This record gives sequence, structure tokens and C-alpha cells, in this order.
Amino acid sequence: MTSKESSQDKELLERYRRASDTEAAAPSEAVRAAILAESHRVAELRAQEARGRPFDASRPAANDSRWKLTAFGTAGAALVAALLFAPRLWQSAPPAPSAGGAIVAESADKAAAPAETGAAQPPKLESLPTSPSAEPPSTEPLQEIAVTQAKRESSKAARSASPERQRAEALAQSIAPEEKTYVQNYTTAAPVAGGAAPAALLSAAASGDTAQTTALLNQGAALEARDEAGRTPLMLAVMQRKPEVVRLLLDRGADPNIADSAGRTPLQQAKQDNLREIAALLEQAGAR
Amino acid sequence: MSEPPETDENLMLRFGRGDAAAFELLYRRHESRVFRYLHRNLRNEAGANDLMQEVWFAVVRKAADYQPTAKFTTWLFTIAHNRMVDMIRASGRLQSLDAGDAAGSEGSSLLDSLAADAKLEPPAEVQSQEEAAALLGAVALLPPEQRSAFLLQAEGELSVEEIAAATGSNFETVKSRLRYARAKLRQLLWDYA
Repeated sequence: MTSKESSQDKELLERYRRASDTEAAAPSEAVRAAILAESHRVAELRAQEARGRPFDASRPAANDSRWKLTAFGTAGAALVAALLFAPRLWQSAPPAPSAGGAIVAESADKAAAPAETGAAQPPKLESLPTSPSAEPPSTEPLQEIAVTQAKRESSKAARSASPERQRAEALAQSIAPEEKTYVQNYTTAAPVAGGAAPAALLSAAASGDTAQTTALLNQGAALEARDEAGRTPLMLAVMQRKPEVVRLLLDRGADPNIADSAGRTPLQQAKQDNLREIAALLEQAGAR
Repeated sequence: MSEPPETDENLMLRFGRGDAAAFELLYRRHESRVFRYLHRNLRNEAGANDLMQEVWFAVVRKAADYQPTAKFTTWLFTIAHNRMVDMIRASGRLQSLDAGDAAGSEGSSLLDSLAADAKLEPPAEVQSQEEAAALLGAVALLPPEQRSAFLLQAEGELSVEEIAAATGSNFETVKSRLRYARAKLRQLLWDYA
């Protein structure tokens, strides 16, 4: 293309454009409005996308199509977690370490019965001497027997289904951590005070064995014997819900106002556990 | 010193991010040119309006994916041209647009000689209302391919390469169409003068 042709082309285009400008050429107002409206609609969508999806508080969560997936997923995860960790919790629970443990285990069967029937019988442990003249029993044989019984109990519960399994579960649930602690303490640890056979008296009181408690008291066992937590036989009898032993100890002159190391008195413990009969006995004896 | 106006490409990118005002500016900048391109090709007001809406709706909906790899006007007039061809084909009116150069090559030897003749240069000083109408009428009489190429150049301000890209034609073909179109228009203006 020569420069002359090029200038001619430019001239022609200029003349066309001037001619074109003389003619009103525009779309109808309706078309223009439709185009601009569409552009506003799309722009709003783009702006929303840029801001992210807004939270719609007016929309109930139940209308969310994914709520079932979320709910069942959460429940499934919780179930799996429970199945994984429950056995570990069972295993980590300390096995019945002593005669006290066995006593608690035995008496746990009776826990299903009303707490304060007063008819609870002391556990029949063969090695427990009943003769008043006998030497205070050593806790070592008791511990062995108790451990054996506890193991037998738990393995039986593990092997069998109901009712043994249910019984074992009830047994485990009935043993509060605090009870396990103090039973272990007063049977294995040396009491800090109490004269002759204080551990035996603590054990007998906790187990609700009135005959053994009477025998030990007759032997001169101190009523104010304490375990490591500062609990007296009376306190242990209250905690183990043994109204007969409570009555026996109070009749023998046990001080109802001796608090444990945490500052809790037997009456406070009875009221906390809603043990009305025991609380009444304590109040009659001057407990505060 | 005033700042240069914002480019079409920037306005389109802004609109893609949700700025409706950017689109409005862009639309008003190109409204007449697109409409004239459509109207003078179709020679039908209602059809041009329908097509105008269709073209700009397409621009709006493609905005999110728009990439300024080419001039905005090239992209815009490519959409306009393609939609127009679709509409004409659908109506069965188009016989030769983008289907070859059969119509455009008719009488090409005569036009070649006309275009090469310097005497056919129209008188520059004449520009009246009548002449404007005659020129626009002459454009309407051009064969479809030549008219489309000429209008893309005159209204869309596209280069030969850009017209070739917009119409899917080869560079030399477009160049030839433009040459024939200009020759015919010069002839008409010379006759008018």
C-alpha cells in the first residue's frame, strides 16, 4: 500500500465517520436498560463472591442438606473414640489392692439395695479371726485373698455376659475413686495414731463388721485412730454407709466432731451423701 | 494536565471484580459503535436491538473469565461479529458472509482498476447531509463480507490483523475485502460529487 493510498483510506474513513455521526444510531432504551440491569446483577454476584459466602442467619441449620452427615459423623467419631479409650480406662483403674478392696467389692453388691437398711452383713472373709483372744489380724493375708477374689471377680465379669458382667460393671461404678483411695490407705499404710491394731479397726469399721469392730474395741483399739487422710473409724463407717457401726462407735464414745485432713466432719459427710439415719445418730451424739 | 482515560481493559477487569460503574462507563464508550456495526450490517432496527442485547449480555457473562490478552474492542467486535453471523445464518438470509469470497470477488478486476485510479479520489471539500446519506447508503450496498470488514475497520477501529482474527479470515482475504469496499465507496462519492 502506497502512502497516497494510505492517506486516501484515512480520508475515506474520516468521511464515513463524519457521515455516521450525522445519523442517530443507538439501541432502544429498553435494550440499554436491560443491558445495564444485567450488568448490575452480575456485578453484585461477583462482589458477593469476592466477599465470600455470607452467613445466612435466617436459614435454620436443619435445612442444611449436610446436617445429617455432620451429625452422624460426629456421633460416629465419638463412638469410635469411646470404644478405643474405654478399655484403657478399665485397665488403668487400680485393681483391688487389699482386703479393703475386697470388702468394698463385696459390699458393692449390696449397694444396689437401699443404702441405709442397716441389714448389711459384714463380709465373710475366712481368714478374718473372730476370736476376741486372737491376735489382731495381719492385713497381708487379707490382701492376698482380696486380690485373688477381685481378680476372679473381674475376669469372670470380663468373660461372661450378664448377669455377671452387669454385676461387675455395677461393682466398678459403685466404687468411687475416693473410696478406693481411703480403703487402700487404711489397709496398706501405717496409721498415724490409734494404739493397738488401728488398721484393723479402720478396716472393720469401713466394712461394717460390728462383731470385729466390737472385738477390736474390746482389745483396746483406739477410737480416734486415723488413716493417712485423717479419717477416723467413725468417718469411714459414715462414708461406707454403715449405720450399725456408726451407732456402735458412738456408743463406745467416739468423738463425732473429729474432722479429716480436709476439714470435713462425719456429719457433713452424712449430709452430703443424704444419709438421714446416720446424720440423726451423729446429731444425737452432739455432732456439729 | 489531565490524566488519560482508563483503558477499556482495566474497566473490564474492574467489572469482573464486581464494579458495575466500570461496566457502565465501558458500555457508554462503545454503545454507538457496536450498534452501528450491527445495524448497518443487518439493516434492521429490531434485529439490531435484539443482537445488541445479546452481544452485551455475552460480554457481561464472560467478564469473570476476561483476560486482556488482546484489545478489548477486538474481543468485543469478535463477539458482535460471531453473534451476527449466527443470527443471519439462523434466519437463512446470509448466503456468503464468511462462507467464501464468491460475492466479494465478483467484478474484482473492475474494482481493482477503479481503486488504482487516482481520478476516483472523491472531492474532499464536499460533505453535506446528502453526501453523508449517500455514503451510508453505499456502505449498505456493499457485499456482506466487504461491508462487515469495512465496518469493523471504520466503527471498531480494528486493524487488518484484528479483523482477520475477529472474522476468522485470512489476512490477505481481509485486506482484499477492504480494498474492494473502499474502491466502491470512492466511486460512489466521486459519482456524487
